[in-house]
Amino acid sequence: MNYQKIEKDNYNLHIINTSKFKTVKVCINFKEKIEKETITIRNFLSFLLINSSKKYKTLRDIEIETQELYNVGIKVDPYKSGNYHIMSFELTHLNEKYTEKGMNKKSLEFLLELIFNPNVTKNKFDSEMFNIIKSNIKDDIKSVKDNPGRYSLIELYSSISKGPLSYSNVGYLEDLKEIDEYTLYEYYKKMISNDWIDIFIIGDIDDSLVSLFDKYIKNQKKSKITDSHFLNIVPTKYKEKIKKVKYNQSQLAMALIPESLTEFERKYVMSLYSIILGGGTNSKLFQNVREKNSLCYSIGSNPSLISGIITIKAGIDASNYKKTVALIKKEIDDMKCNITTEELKQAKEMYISSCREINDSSDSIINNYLSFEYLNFDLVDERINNINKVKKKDIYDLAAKLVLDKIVLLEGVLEDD
Amino acid sequence: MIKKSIKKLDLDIYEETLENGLKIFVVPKLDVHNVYATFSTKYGSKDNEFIPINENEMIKVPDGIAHFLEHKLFEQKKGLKPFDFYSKTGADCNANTSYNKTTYLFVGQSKIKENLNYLLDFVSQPYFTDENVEKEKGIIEQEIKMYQDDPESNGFEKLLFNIFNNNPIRIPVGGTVESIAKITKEHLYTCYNTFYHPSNMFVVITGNVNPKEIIDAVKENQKEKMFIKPQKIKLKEIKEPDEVYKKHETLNMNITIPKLLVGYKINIENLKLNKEEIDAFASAYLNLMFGSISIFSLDLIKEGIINRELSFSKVKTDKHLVLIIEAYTNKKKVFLDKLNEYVKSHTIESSEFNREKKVMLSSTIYMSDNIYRINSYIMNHMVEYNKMEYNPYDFFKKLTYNDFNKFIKALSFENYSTIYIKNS
Repeated sequence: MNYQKIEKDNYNLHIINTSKFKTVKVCINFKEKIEKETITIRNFLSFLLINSSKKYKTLRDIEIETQELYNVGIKVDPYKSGNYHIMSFELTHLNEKYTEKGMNKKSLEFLLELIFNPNVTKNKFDSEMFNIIKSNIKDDIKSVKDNPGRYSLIELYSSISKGPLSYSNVGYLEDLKEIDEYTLYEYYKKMISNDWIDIFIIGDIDDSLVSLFDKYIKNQKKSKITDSHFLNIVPTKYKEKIKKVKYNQSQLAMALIPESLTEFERKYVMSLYSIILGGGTNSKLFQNVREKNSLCYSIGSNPSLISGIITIKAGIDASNYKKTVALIKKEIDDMKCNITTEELKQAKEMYISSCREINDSSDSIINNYLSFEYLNFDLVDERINNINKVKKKDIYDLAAKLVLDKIVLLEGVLEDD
Repeated sequence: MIKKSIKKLDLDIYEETLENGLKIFVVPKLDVHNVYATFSTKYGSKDNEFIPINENEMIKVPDGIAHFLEHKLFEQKKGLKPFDFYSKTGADCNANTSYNKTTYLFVGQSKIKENLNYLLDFVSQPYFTDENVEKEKGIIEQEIKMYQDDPESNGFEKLLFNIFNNNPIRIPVGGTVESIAKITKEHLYTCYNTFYHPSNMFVVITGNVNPKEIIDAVKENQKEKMFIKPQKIKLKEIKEPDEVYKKHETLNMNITIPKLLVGYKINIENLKLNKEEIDAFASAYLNLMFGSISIFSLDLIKEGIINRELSFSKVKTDKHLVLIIEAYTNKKKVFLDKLNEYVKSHTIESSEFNREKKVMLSSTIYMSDNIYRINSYIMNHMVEYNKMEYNPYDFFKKLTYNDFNKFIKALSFENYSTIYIKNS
């Protein structure tokens, strides 16, 4: 596997050459500082672009072309990344060695057509697909609380911060109202010329393929982005929030927030802390709350390296709320002084296995270079090397800085329906 | 050990059947780090009425017992429990139950023989007590409630319940809070002894392994174990009419946009195609009729009848094929009328079928890059068709438009059931 970064005038190209996969994968990222007011329009644009273009006007036209190109996969993922918002356009296709000659170029052209040649006439997007996407996003916004687990996280994040952490992933109705075919095209032009563009391509490919990018990405100038992705979140005042909802089950969500973090803690210690506390079936939470006390089916913790927060989630019976929280608190306390050498060793092994696994799929290889590029995280070999340096004391030091700051309970009131 | 090449996919499959009946499949893929090993029994939630091994009378066991049994096999009388063992070797371990299969698995990178031995051992050493059975009920109760709160799975389960009259596929895999309350350790041993005989089970290993070494390790492991002679498992015969149990039901749930599920129950007994062909044609049919490629879906969106693209799935039993279409809609009556008219009148061109075939052929190559999908492919063939297909690429290549039309002509849309999910 060979990684090469080429800094062009108006975009960065990351080429990962490997013959390990029968597929070629391309990921084109548009990145801009996050603003609450532009999340909706950026989501709108993302979905509109991959659903219609000048050359492929309707979804049916696009589907026919994906079939003709031997089932290429096209998708878009607009997402928050700390202080930034990223629109990620992805293409996966079979290497032409397995289909027919010329398919690599045709597939890449297909993706580039969708992004860079939109269905615009007289400074406005075509209305038909515009209206469909608008109604889809409206539904997405309105139904954002339909999923119990996601709902509990929305409540948790909004109790922690008013900044990017709490911003909606899907958008806002008041911003959606303001978007029409003209304003969207205005924003499109702005995004094409101002967003920072990173392109990742992985597969067994030759250089002639990447020259296609220059053909499409023309007039954009590269803006300098230097601010960090990381959010600065600190504990405030302990708060408990209980809401009644119409579910069979109650959702519990808790946030551990550090007073400060060193770079090493953010990159390594946090992950091991979370694996030991609630990272799998052998974790303290799974063993004690589920296996010993039968209080839940699902329970676990997750570190968000960008915000520095560790979230704990569980699905429980409302009547067991106090008992569950008390048990979780006991395990959090245990993390401050009572982890075994075996627990640390197993957590490291789990971490190392997942590092090695990165090189087994093109998705995770791209993600790895992405966090290397955006977050300054280390690559696989260095990660494995560094994780072995973490000592028990490092975990205890981090544990001492973590404050159980917020608890949210969505109390299910359909009991014995 | 038999070796066969999977044409076009750069893969070999090694196969062996042991004296006790256990089947082993190994597909080496040396350019990845992981090994994915699955150990499955052809036993799932639908097998709830049967004659227990060494007995004569048909019995009925509580619903959800196959899934409960899956949870309880993680108890061990002595030594390490599975989660502890696999944490020590750095592997991930899990299990899952469907209506016709229960699978135990691990994913690991080192100590593969030890991990495999342990997998074969823990699944064959049941240890059920009154206490550990009681303890599990709280955990599974939360699992059942989790699925009940999810409109997707709740709607799907209720639809199957209403489509079938007698086929136990209508019962949710996990059972209900009431049914699992009735489960005892005696039930568990009866089910275990009947369905966990090696002749009803198979091992599939994909990833970075040496096939000969790994097959020898399984042989060695099984040599030490005592099994009674394989016996044929007698399941209760199911008499399922073509009519549905209940035509319409409305569910009140936490859902913002109302959703309609339609399930067409189609008799496939007289269809002169094999099961694999039926599955392939059914998938192609659903995609071409209801996917983004269909004009039907787009027109309905434009007319404001549905809110977004349709989704679809299928369920198959020996006698029936159920085609399920799901729509977000505020106009369920209009939608249903349009759908009924469309399925009865629309035809598919040969050019459309040939494009879809290209997709099916490509999907086999995509699969060959992924050790989890290769493993699932083999498991699926063992459970659904009771045989392996060594050349998936050629299998799809041989499908004809003519046969596809034969399939379509046999579809009858008279019997259907609907579930409407809306906010109370």
